[in-house]
Amino acid sequence: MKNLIRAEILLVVVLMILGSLLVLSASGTYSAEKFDNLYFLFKSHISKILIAIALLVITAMIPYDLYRKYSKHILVGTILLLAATLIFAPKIKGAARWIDLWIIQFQPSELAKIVLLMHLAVMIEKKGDLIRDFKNGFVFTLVWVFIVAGLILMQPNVSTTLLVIILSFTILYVGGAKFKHVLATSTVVGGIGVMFMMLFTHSRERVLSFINGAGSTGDINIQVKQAKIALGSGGFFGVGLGNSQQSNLFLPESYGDFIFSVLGEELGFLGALLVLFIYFSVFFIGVLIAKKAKDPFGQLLAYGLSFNIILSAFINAAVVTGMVPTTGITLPFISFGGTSIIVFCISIGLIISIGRYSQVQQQELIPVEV
Amino acid sequence: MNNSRALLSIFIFFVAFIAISVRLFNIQVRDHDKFKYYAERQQNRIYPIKAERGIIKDREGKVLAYTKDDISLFADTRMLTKSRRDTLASALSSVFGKSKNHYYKLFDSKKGNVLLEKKVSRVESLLLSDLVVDGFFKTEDYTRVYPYGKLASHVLGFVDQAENGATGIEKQFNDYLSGQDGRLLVERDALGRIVTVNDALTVPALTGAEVTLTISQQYQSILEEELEKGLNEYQSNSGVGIIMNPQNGEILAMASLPNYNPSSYSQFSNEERRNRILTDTYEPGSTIKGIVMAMLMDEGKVNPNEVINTENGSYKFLRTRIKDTHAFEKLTVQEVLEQSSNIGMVKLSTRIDDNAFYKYLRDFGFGNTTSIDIPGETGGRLKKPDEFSKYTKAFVSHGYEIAATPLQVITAFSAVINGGILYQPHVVKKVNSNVNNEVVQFDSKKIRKVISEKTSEKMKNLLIGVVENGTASLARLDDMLIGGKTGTSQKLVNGSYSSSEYNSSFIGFFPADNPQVICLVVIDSPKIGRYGGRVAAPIFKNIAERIIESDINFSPYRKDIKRKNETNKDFLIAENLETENYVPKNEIFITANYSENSKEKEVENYSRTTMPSLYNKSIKESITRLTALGIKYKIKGSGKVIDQSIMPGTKLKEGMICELVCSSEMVN
Repeated sequence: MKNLIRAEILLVVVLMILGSLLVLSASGTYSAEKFDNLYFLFKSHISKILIAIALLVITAMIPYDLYRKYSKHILVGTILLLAATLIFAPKIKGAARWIDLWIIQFQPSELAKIVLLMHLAVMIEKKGDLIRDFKNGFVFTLVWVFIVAGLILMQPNVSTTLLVIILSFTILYVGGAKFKHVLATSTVVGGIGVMFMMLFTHSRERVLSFINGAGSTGDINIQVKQAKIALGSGGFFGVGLGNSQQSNLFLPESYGDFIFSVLGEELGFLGALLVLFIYFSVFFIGVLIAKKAKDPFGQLLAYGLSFNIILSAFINAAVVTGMVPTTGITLPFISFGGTSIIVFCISIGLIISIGRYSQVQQQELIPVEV
Repeated sequence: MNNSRALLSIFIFFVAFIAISVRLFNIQVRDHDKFKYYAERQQNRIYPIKAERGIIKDREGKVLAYTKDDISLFADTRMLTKSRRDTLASALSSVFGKSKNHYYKLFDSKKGNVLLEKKVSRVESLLLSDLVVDGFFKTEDYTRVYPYGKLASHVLGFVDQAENGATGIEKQFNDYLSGQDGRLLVERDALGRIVTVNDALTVPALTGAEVTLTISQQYQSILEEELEKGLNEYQSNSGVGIIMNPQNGEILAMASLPNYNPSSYSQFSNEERRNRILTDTYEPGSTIKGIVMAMLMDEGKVNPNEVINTENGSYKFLRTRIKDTHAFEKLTVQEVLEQSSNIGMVKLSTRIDDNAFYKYLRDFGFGNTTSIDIPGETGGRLKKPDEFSKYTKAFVSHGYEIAATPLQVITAFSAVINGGILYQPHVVKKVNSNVNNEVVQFDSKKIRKVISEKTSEKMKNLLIGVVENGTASLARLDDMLIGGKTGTSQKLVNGSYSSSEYNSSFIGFFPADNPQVICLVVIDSPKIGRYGGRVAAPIFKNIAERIIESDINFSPYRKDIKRKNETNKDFLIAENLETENYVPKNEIFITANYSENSKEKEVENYSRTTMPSLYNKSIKESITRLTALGIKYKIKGSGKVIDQSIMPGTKLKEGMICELVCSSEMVN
């Protein structure tokens, strides 16, 4: 268990260091152009990484059992925050997603994902076998899923909504819910989701431009095209760390959701493949920790958080390589973006906490066995 | 946690991992070249650095063409912030005296690069040297300058707007002159701004080569001035002149009037920009007699002292009639040339066979381009033996049925007097290249030996006689012996020979015993004078005098010449020219189809030793006769002769002076 935790920490630290370097390389030109300071966005990124690491350490120290008691309260609080975002937040690019919290801007939907995950894990543990019963078990969990998903959808933020729903049903499925329940509900929800997707201009545009492919010349297609040029010009070994040309404003927001393409340009196919493998490893180790967790809550939470990380990472990579329509989903630990890095670090903190406190119990049990 | 379900998700992600990896491989490895190309196309840009065009100098090193690297000022309006705009506008308006608003309007006119000031002076650009504003930049903007204006314009040529040579030396030596453009490879961002300059792939520009001509600016300006004066005096629209060193083919001056200014070439017509010396052929007329005589002599067919029956100026040759303006009963071969007798030449030309005749003309360069180092040359027209009619040799021998450029004529004539060697004419002496520091020398190039040195020596003497005793006496110089030959040919106008339009030409060389300079002057259709000896010879004389005066190299050759017969300013020379009866049928050359019933000019028989009656003759005719008899004369009045001081029939003695009284009113 100790080694699993060490490996997990090591991999995440590698990703964060790599992420910082890539953000520096990718945001330099933009920072210099917009803020007259080459390191403007990089500094902001570093400060958020430091906050995130602090939060990681704190959550890792706190026994995760604590959350079992308060998961409902935290979820209700997060729901209020989402509602407040809808009312108060300024609209950026046609969507109200950010809220000014303390000193930094915060995206409550990112937090909502793991908080909902946590509460679902608590509920599944509580319901026990009842989760297999639609009326007495499964349906109660759906209420929370729909409230959170609905609020995020109203921002509107279709891709995060879909992510929340996938995440929720996966945790319910892995948690023991009947496959037909999950399938039936997700089909209905999926149908509604597609309806909404076509309702909002920004997501409709993304989907249509993905379907139409190279024919259209909208901003979104330019982004994907430039991302492909970045990846493609990287070749097998890449142009070298810090040598990205595409980030010189050719690729919009290269330091954010499209940083994977800068990674591919600078470190080549080899680097991109390695990073994808690191994500897979982070997930795999997370699942191993989950398997060894002492209770279903810990198991499901560790699994769900790991799932969230790899799902974000792979969807991001699929977007950048043009396999799926453009989403606003970040590359965990690497992309510039405060909320993302903080929430993912908290996730890792929680996984470590689960691992540590399960380990402690195991160690306590060992002498008894002997 | 349901372990099998968790395992299933791991499996699904593993499949996704493989799928994304395959996708990445396709983009990054398989299509790498394609995307790399796209990336470089948008990221890198090669800015050419224009090399400065080389200079063109004359043989003494005077600069005839150079390039001025002016500065043009530009601004990239995308990079101009409010404060930068203000700084720039106030700085520019203080230097150029225009309003600030003028510049604000320019800034607003376009997104991207805007030309603020074109080709500003050095001083102005120095005043702006401290002005450093992002988005403001200076670019070198070259201008080709020809300091002597129109001088030697047809030799130099001009450059087009892209600084590429369009004609003349500018075109022929464009590769040398244009140097090697450098390049600046820069990596750009999406706004088109320079991110880095790639030093490894950046190459500085190399200034073009320095081309030194064989042309002498001094000779050239003398030639152009005297030609211009001649055109005015004899009322002609165009004329050409070439000065060459007959000993090596170096062209010392070459002028074709009208000319143009290469720096404002677009304001001139093609007529003015055409180098007639290379592009226009003419029938050389009597000047070719020198060349035909040389071949006859080289073949041993004639002896200078041999007497030829010149048939009193009218001779029926086959089915046509050949006439001389000067009618003589008999002339020696030397005199045939001196008096430019057509009849004499026609008779002599029958002594050589067609093939030899053709071979000599061919060897003298007729019918072929001279390969001069100026583009645009034509080769003229020389009939091949199988195209010869029975008349061809007869007509070619006095300058018809052959078309040549002035350059071909002077090149061939040089071979007659320089010992018999045909040189390739050239205008470029050497090229100093900056690209690889090489110096390319263009030495004189012997093409072939055409006639023997002995023949050449004899020809020189004959040609001196032409000037001293014959039709070219207006070309005589006081202090130097020269040789030469006049020529007058009727111009072909709409397929038939014009009776009013002539090419008057003279080709002369000096110092006669050691020719350093040969000069051809051809005047197109002078309204006054018509004859080569009357129009072109005096122009030649003026050119020769000024050259001898200005070039110290000629001083050892200068000496006073005592002549028996002094030329008179009003001396008019009528040379052989009676081609108005030849009516060609839609052919550029006369064929054997001439009218036999042509009006014949009345020619009086007269002895060479007694005074003829000049009563009621024109002054021109009278002078012709007196000259032929070697009698000095004085003329009073104008019009026709009404009285003469030496009565007809008087036996003539050397040194006699005849006074003619003329009146424009006819006396019956």
